[in-house]
Amino acid sequence: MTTAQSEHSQIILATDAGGTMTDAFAVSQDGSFSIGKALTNKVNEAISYANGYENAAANWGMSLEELHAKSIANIYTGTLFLNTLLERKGLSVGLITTKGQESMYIHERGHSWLGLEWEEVLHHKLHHHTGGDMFRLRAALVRGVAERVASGGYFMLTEPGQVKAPLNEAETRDAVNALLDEGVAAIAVVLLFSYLNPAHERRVREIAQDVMRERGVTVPVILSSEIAPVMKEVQRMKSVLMEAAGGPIVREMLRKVEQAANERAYRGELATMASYGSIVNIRHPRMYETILSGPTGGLIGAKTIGEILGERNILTADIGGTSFDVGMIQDHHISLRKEPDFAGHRLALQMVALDSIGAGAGSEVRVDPKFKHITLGPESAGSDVGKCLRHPRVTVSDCNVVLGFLDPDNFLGGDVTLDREAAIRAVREDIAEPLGLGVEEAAQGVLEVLNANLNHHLLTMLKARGANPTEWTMFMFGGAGPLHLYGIDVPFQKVYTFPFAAAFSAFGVACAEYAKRFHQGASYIIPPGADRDVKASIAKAMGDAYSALRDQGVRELNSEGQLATKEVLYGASMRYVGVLEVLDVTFTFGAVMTPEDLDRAIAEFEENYAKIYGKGAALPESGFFVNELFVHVVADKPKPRFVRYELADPRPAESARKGERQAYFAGTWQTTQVYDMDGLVAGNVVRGPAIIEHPMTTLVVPPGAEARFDEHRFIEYRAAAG
Amino acid sequence: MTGLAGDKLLGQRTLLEQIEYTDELTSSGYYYGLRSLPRKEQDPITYERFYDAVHSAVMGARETSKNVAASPGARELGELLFALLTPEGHAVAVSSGLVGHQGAFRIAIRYMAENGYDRNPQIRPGDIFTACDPATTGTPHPGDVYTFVPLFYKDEFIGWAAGMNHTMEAGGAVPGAWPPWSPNTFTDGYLLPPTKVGEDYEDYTWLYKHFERRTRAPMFNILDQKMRVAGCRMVVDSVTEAIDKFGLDYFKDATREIIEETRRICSDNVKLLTVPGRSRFVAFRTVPYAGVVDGVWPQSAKNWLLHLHSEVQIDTREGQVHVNWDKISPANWHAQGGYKGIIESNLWLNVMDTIGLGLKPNSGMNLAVTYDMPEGGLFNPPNDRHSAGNPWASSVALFNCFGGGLEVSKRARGFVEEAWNSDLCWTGIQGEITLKNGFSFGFCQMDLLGASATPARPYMDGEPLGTAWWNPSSDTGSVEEWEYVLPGIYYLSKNVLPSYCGHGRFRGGLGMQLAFAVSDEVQEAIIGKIGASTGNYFTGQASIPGGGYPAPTSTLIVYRQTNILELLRQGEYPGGMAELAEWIESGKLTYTDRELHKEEVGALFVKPGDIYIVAGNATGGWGDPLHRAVDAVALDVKEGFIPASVADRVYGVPVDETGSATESLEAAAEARRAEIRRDREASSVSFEEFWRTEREVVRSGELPQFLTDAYAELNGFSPSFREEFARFWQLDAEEEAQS
Repeated sequence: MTTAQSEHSQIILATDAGGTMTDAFAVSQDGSFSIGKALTNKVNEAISYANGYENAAANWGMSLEELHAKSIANIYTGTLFLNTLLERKGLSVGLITTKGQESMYIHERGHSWLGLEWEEVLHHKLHHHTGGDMFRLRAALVRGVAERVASGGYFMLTEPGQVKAPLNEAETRDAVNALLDEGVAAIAVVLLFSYLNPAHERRVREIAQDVMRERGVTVPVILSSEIAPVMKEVQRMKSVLMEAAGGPIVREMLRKVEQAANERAYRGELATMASYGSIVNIRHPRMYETILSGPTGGLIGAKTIGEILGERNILTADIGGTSFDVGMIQDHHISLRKEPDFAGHRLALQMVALDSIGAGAGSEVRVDPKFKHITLGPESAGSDVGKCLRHPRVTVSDCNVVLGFLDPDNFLGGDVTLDREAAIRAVREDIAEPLGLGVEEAAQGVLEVLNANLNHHLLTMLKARGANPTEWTMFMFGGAGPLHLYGIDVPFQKVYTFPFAAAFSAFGVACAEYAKRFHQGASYIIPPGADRDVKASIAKAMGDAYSALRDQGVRELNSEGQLATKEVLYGASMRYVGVLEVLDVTFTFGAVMTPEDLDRAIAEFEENYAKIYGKGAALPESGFFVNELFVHVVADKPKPRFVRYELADPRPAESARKGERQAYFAGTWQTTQVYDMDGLVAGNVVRGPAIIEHPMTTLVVPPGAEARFDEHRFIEYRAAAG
Repeated sequence: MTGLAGDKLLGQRTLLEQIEYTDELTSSGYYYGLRSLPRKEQDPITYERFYDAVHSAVMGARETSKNVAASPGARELGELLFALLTPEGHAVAVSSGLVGHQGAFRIAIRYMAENGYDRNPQIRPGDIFTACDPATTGTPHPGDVYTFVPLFYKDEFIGWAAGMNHTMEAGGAVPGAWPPWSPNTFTDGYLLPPTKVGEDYEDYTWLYKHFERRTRAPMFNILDQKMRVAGCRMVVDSVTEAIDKFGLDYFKDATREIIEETRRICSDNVKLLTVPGRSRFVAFRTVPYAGVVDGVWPQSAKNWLLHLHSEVQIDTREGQVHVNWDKISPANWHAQGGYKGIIESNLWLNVMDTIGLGLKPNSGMNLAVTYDMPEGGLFNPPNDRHSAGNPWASSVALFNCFGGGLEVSKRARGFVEEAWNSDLCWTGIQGEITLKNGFSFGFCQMDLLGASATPARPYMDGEPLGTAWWNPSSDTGSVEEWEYVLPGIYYLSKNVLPSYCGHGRFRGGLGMQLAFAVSDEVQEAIIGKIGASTGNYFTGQASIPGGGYPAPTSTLIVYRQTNILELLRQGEYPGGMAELAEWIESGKLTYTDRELHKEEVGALFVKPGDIYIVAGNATGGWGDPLHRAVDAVALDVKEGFIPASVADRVYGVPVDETGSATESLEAAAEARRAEIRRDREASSVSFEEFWRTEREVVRSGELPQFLTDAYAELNGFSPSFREEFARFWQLDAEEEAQS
């Protein structure tokens, strides 16, 4: 579909290849965009890629080659990595680990409840290890080798990373031979404390390469100290196993897609998304970092628009059919999480911090017949919408139809007709009567439960950061974002949604920066009252490490053709000595190089810590501990630009009005104006009660509220003036 | 801050009057006398939204504040809890974590009420009350520390925010969080009855000084206190916002209704999920104190055998569960007893996983179960001088019996998938390390506390480190984190231990083997091993549900003055117990002395070069091992879960060490199993013969002293035990008196 007619140039292509459908999104320099869809070809995604863009190009009256010739960036994301592992189709991996830790993959340190809902977590009989199943690990594929590196540890004089037991090379050779005998296609190496001293892991690789040379075979050897050099061995192992099992398969498929694009006149290289919210070249050496990239697009889009609007602190909510994802941008930086859970595994991975809640617009609504509990989701009707279409159980969408918020004749632009009577019947029989409520009251109640859930999660996320909502702006998007926007009752400074809310994630991918992020485990203890010499020594060590990480980032970017480094961010994971959890602080001043820098780093850490936990929680008298350094190296990349329109009269043009209908607000049916979103222009203000329709989304404006289209046609939702 | 309060903290009532008022209403059988739930019934949607708000408050507090925590138990393992309480201390909403403790919070609140805390020292906004004295507080043992912050709304006292966590060191007679050798309360450690320890959300300095002087891990304990305060403050702030939205009257009504609703659902679950009737299970536990403290505390100079007997009565018409502990051993001068808090915590945990499904977890679950713990019984001592150093060890055994009763009843109703061998366990490693640089610190290590294996079920095997029934978010932590906070001790192994499980048609989850070397950075270290599954423990109930074998108990083995540090320098060390045994056999690993401790160990001194190994947390099997699928046995051998010798001897499946057989495995197994059955028959005696033989032993009185003492103690304490004992063994009056 097309949002505006214009001469399309400087196009950015962003693909989201799901397990079923491939969405091909093209955005032009002026911000207009076109979406094409194709069934995902699981054998060769290059085919579905081309089919998708054929559609997208046709929307703009172009050929596939013309579209590619005018494209300046091409970003491809999808669920291939996920599906490869879930379907147990990854490469056969052998694991070499520190002797005595061979059953890590079985016991998973006790994480048998990851991925369960809260009620399931409370029920121990539902706990179950995911273990090595996804990687098809078994005893014969796991070998321990004797070696030990010291942690250093609190209170100690031992140098962190000091070798306590040299690597047993004979055992290592035996291990490699045994794994090759089993026919492994990759070898993963995870040794204790290798993030402090990678020498043993590197030596394992050298020995493996010697053995392979002797045997005339080659399989990749993947080291945890290179892939995820951070503390906590089980999480690190999971990341390395994912890289080893899925990385080569995904990289090969991406190469095919790139070839397909190049053959159709695209002159650049294909990129993909890393879970920390940046794009990377498909030659990126840590492909597992792309495994959870799907939901990151929304946050990147929000960051981009936040920069246009001058908003530093943004909370985002992406509301889709099955879930809503809440994320945040603080001081223009997307908040990251260190150990995300994925398919029952906890990974060592930097990922945008998204809280995903299993309830969305298509969620099933269940009422416990005896105890009258209302439960939303996690099951969803998906494209079956609800009982108003062809789903066997009542859903949130049925409630929206009952209340007049969704037009049964204009769903998906009129492509699908919904049965309002069926929705009313469903809400009455399945929700209202069991609860002893009227139909409208019940439908409104369901939406209130969904909205309340959303509001609590927004507040929880803010509190976890010690943030005050009145200093924050809210962006709501996703296909059902505008529909539920009115439910936000957190006192944000401003609330926005967008005409392209349904395609916001794809838009965000197109906005992504090209960047490399590195986290390196460390062990620097800064004692209380440390003198200048001690600080100088630590600052020098940190400075050297920062320089090395920065150089690696620049080198990787250069090797991937991204020559211009735009920005380098430095930070550290810090804690008070004694505390176990770290706080990631991105320094405002750059890298720590001098004792004065170190003092500034400590001050910034303390300021952030107090903001979240209160000043009473501080313990500077125990000293400070730095356990990770991180560097974020950003290269310049073209991004979509937004047209700035002349502001028109606040009163919408009559042509934008589609008519009126009854909608249920605050306990009464009210006559509600209906507008065509594409007909509203910058400067227009729509006062509630109103409904603004778009083929892909619906914005509900209740009485007392208004929606203002600003100079970029971003929609500010606010209390009605006067 | 407003200086309100005074003794009429709750309108016209003192806190104690309010508690008594609520107790009176609840004696109707309905919490707070609520025969209906008007807020829920009139507007179920607002009601759910309200619960969501207060539940989010406690969940959010836990997830955020635990980042302040120092002790690995709180941060890495999630051994903490936050809750919103009514003024009387009843939990309305609880976070994840050590959920059982919510059942005990009200004990501390009652203590404060009974002692007039609302008048002196007063209860005001921002005040901090912390407690860890089991006799007055409800904390099961001193290592579990509770913090309470009162919840005020516009000057009106309306409840409490509560936080707790399992701390690293309790300052007892032996280092660690669970002193196993503690004759009385004065050797339990640093005991704080409910005490105002700060105001305006800031701790008084003296508290930190007490932690520094009276515990061996002050830094960890101070940071944990800060964590609890930070979390309680978050609860107060979030709940206040919820009241702004829903209104104070709504808050007061709905919090009561939420508790009563939970009680009702539990009660209905009893009707829906169980069959009526009575079931009894028993476990035993030795308490070997003779020779340990004789000279100083002669009343503790003996060995006890604890009789941990539970009788569960289920009434499906009323939906009520009643537990009768009238045959339990009496309290005595050792650390295995406790106070009411340990019962309330354990009860709640058992209820949660059996009849507590599909509800809002809170104090309503405690109301669904009534119990009789006789005055003077193990967990209801006659005075407050008794120790509560280590009641989690004995009480878990007791509550496995209670849980077993609920499991059996559910299985009888047809919920086979809900049944398992209810024989859960834990093992704690604790002690104190003094480094060569003079620094010393106490610790408790939770590799075997964060999770245990799951037991076998009627249709599947158990899994290693699969659950911690005291903490739904089970986690044993990272070796790399543990070595950070316990420097000088190197892990040689954290692996599953082959064949270390209860065998059966479905086997229990394998237990773990942890092996450590004491490095030359250590001057001296003290280690102890305690827990529910030590060799002090025998369960009679574990094998009954499915006929499988019970779990093996935990073990501590110490090898003195080994050459391990030299071996390490050469790039060699044994990766586990099997290799260690081979190396000893071959002379590669040398040592001067070896100690094996199956029972609890209070304090063993270890030095550089010593190796110690702890095996623990295995669980029991289900069904006869001879019924296990032959392929499953072969796979277990192939994967190294059991050796071929066990496959042959226990399962009757003759395979080699690769899990393969030279002939048809099915046929070979059939023949071998027939042979084992013949051997079993040949070595068995009839029940009648068994009974007659044992009866003669009973009548002769020729029993080991600790057994004679145990019978005498029980017969003296429990009339019902005495009567049943005499009836079972058909003793006449004279014999009964002698026994």
